[in-house]
Amino acid sequence: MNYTISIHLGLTSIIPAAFAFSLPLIGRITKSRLVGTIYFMVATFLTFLVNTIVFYQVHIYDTIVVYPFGGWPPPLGVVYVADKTSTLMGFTISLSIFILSLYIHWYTRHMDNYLLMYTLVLILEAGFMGFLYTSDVFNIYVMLEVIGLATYPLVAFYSYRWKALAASARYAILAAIITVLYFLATILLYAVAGTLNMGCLAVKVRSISLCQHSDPFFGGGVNGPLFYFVFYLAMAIWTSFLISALFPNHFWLPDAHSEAPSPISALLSGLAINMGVYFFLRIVYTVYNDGLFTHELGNVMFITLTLASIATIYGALMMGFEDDVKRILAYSTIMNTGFIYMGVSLGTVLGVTAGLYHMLNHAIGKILAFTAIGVFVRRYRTRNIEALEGAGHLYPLAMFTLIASFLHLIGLPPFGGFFSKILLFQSLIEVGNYIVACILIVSTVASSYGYLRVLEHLWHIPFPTVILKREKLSLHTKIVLLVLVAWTLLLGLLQQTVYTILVDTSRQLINGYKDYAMALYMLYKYLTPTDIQVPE
Amino acid sequence: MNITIFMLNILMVSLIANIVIALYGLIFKPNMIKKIISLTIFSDTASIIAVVIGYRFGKLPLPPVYMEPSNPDYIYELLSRSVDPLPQALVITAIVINLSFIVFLSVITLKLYDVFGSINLHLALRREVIERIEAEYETFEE
Repeated sequence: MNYTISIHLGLTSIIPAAFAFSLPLIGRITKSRLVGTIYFMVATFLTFLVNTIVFYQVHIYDTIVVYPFGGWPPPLGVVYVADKTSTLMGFTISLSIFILSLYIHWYTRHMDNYLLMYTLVLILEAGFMGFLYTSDVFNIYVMLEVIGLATYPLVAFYSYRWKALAASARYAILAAIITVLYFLATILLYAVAGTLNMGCLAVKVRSISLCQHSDPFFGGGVNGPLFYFVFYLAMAIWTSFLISALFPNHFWLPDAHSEAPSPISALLSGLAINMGVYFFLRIVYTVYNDGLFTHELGNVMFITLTLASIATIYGALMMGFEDDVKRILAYSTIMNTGFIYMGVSLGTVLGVTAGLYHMLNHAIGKILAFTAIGVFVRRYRTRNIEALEGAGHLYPLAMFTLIASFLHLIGLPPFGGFFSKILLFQSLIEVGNYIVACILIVSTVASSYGYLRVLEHLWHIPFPTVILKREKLSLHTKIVLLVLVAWTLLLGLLQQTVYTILVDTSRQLINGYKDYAMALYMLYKYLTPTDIQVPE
Repeated sequence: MNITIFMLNILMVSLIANIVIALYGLIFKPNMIKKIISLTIFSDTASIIAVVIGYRFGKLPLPPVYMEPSNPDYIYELLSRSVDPLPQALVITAIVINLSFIVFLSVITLKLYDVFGSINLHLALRREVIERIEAEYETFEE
């Protein structure tokens, strides 16, 4: 395994943050919508470019890329580590935000405070990148708050609606409780382990005796009750469940994701949910897997699988009862989170592969569904499916893309959703868990009713025909919709390539904590050339 | 019992009581202002726990600063007696984050009062149900 120090990795979160803070200034000085929009798109494009470079380095040359901020050696400073999982997600997220930036420009064409949305989206992207690449447990907390403080104002973007304000306040207070508890757990973990670096923590969890080594990288050792390790595990898992809205923590999601503007719903439902899954994978597999806490981890996996099964059934059923289009899609997100966690909590290579595959499929499919439904919602100013009857005839292209996204989310063969679901089914059968495999099929069938209900209402023409003037979609909205449809198709057609990449990724994730820790250790050796003598 | 450990026990018990009270306020109090106050209590309690963890017990603790460069033996003295600087840095970060959080929640509270006419969050979340019941009652009357 090779290790590379690359400035591009450091730039992934610096670029969107720097552009975000200068964007309101540029917009106010020039007073031109065009300049602000171009500035925003350049920022998202540069982030995408930098992420692509890191993705290429990691996946093609098979290295682990590291970047120390400020030149501090690993246990002391914040170090960004890019392995296959984080670069895969970073690439997907930056590309989707770049595509969505065109759509956001179209969506905010009649709004005065468009600069606010541009800025918050860029801060959100900076938070995503920092969250994905950081190897520091406390920096995760900081990035969680960055993501949160960008998300709550975006949910309350229509601040003249009390429902949006109440949804945002509820989400913010709930997340505040969890993040303060996470902060507490981090501090207690530091008191016991003497480090906050994930590589060091991974080594310490695996073998306590190795930590008594005189090497300063592992210095301090473990002193204190091991209970705090378990407490941190519990709080981290709970945090990840809250971010990705797994079943008992889901109740903020339908309000928050339906009250936000449509491109923001796409961002939150498609991408922000995945941060929780990433955090779950990182904590469970890189830090805690096969260590001292195998028994506790087994309990965590069992509970996660149970909650995921309940979440799929619950989401699929609630989709049939709702009349609000965006709430239907929000419940679909709850259901798909259940599918992702089903695969991820199995602990096998095939299961994690299926979970990651379904995560990619759901992200693109949900972004496509929200962008397509956003066209209708923006035109009709309503989200009720009874009021949207016959709207599909006004925008045939948006209707076509909506059908494509729903087929993708249900899982029909030409689209990627089919392959991830069949992989998930295969992994459940491999483990021998037939009950959950049945639940998977049942909830897929039940959810198709919810999806088809939306399509039926959009296509059915009501009897006293209301003739609305057909509005032409702008060129870049058409491009966004068609590119996303192509992406869903490619995820299915290039199934073999995607599968190969994902199997490599999950294999590195499950077995590769040594690579992760060694990358940090080599960086430490590189940055501290002379051996430091530690006094007894 | 050592007086330091006794005082520390009292401190820990009061901090845990603080956490319980703050969680009660955050979850069960409908008023947004009371929720914000509970949140400050909660986050400050966590910060105090962090500072206590960084404290060095035993000998008289020193600030973690190398103040006598002429005396090379001072570094050993410092290593055995200085407090841990890292929790203090973490607490400063957490305080800044919580400040921004409280500013955001205050803005939301003001907006909610302007739009909704009340700062009762639980009523705002349950308003839809109330409206539905009222609408059904009106149709029944007709």
